[in-house]
Amino acid sequence: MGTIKYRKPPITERAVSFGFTLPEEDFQRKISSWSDIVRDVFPHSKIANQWQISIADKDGVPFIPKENQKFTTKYQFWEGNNKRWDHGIQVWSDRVTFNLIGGLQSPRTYEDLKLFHDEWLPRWADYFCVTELHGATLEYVNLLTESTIPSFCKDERISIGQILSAFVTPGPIKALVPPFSFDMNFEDQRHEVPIRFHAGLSTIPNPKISLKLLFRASTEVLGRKISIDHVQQEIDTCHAVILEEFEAFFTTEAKNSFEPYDADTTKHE
Amino acid sequence: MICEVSRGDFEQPQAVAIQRKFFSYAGQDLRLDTELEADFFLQAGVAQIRGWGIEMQHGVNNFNLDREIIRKFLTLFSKATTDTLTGVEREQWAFIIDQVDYQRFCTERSPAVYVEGTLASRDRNGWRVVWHDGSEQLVATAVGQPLSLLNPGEMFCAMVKFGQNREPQKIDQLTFLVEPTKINSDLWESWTTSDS
Repeated sequence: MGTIKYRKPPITERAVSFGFTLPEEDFQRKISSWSDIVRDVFPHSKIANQWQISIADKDGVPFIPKENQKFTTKYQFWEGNNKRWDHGIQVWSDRVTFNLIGGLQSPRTYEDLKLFHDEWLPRWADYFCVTELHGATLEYVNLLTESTIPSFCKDERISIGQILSAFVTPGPIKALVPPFSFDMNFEDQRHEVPIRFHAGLSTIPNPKISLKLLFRASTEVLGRKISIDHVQQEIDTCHAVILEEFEAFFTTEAKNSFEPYDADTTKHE
Repeated sequence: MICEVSRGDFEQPQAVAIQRKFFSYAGQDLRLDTELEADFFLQAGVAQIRGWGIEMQHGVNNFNLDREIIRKFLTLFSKATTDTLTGVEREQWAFIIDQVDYQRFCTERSPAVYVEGTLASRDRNGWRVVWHDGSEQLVATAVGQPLSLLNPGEMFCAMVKFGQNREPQKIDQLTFLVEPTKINSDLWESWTTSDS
């Protein structure tokens, strides 16, 4: 058996991002004209100001501490339309992300993401005069809902124990009750650069119950410096780690429903 | 360390540092000496930039903080120069002028000026120029490209934009001179002096 791929994986978004350090003046001067550079390809630009208000707890009473409150600005450049973005670049003062939106109607592969950032990362780096990155972070969003896992949804409930191996119950009662969530973090030391892996499950209650399972693999460490030419290898390693975890997190039953095929011998239809 | 807390905290404005000291929009830059701060009214979903009279609604896309900060500064700057600030604006201007690097702002807005000089030498770090007033200066490589047309000892005139510490930032309209401009010398010599 060669490389297993899936015709209908529940992956709805793939993103690769890179942290960097740039003096504030250099970044702000460049970002104001970056939208002009990319307008033909990414006609929809948006500025999203993000308030990150952290709430702490003291004796069960929530309060807002003076420290750790943050305001950041995200600059987004999208191709697609307001109802459905196709792909885009998101820029913060210390991070750039390349996002590829997919789904059942428009399945996107790792190779698609690679082509996207292969073209745009060097262009972005040239324009912003960034020569070194802190590493790479790869993220895949798996959406578990009626459209992606129809055979596991019944009466507006998801049979999560049949899909995710972490929810396979040892006892006779199998009907798990939502909401479902977890956050798991691992460190994978098998590679030249340690990979930090995160898996996070959250429940999206509306309109119908669906679950979001995020896989994230990263080589980033603040202060670490790696050239843009060398970062591709790390992205490939991150992808390999996510594939391994994908195989481990989903049950055989679930993976069979994603329509596996041998990529070495079968042409993807 | 917080000793006493209550649910009322969520109704009070929360101070959040906006970790920015530099703003740029449409070629206009503005530097601050200290970082901006905002008061966040979480229940109302509004943030006010402290001292600037600028309000941000939560969830509103395309609010360009750089544009708003620079617009606010230039609006008050214009009114201040024509002495038409209202009472509230006067207070805002007093706060803002204290926070902005005003010297840098003035320097960057100053127009290019006509200068004459002689290229003395060229080295790895740039071009050494003797200006018409006798002062000598090293013009950095990144700025001095037009000077590469000259051989050492040759004279020139140009429109030069100077920045902080009289550092040349841009050299335009470079012209070769055979000798210091006669017209300018005549003009200078005939200029009314304080003791005439």
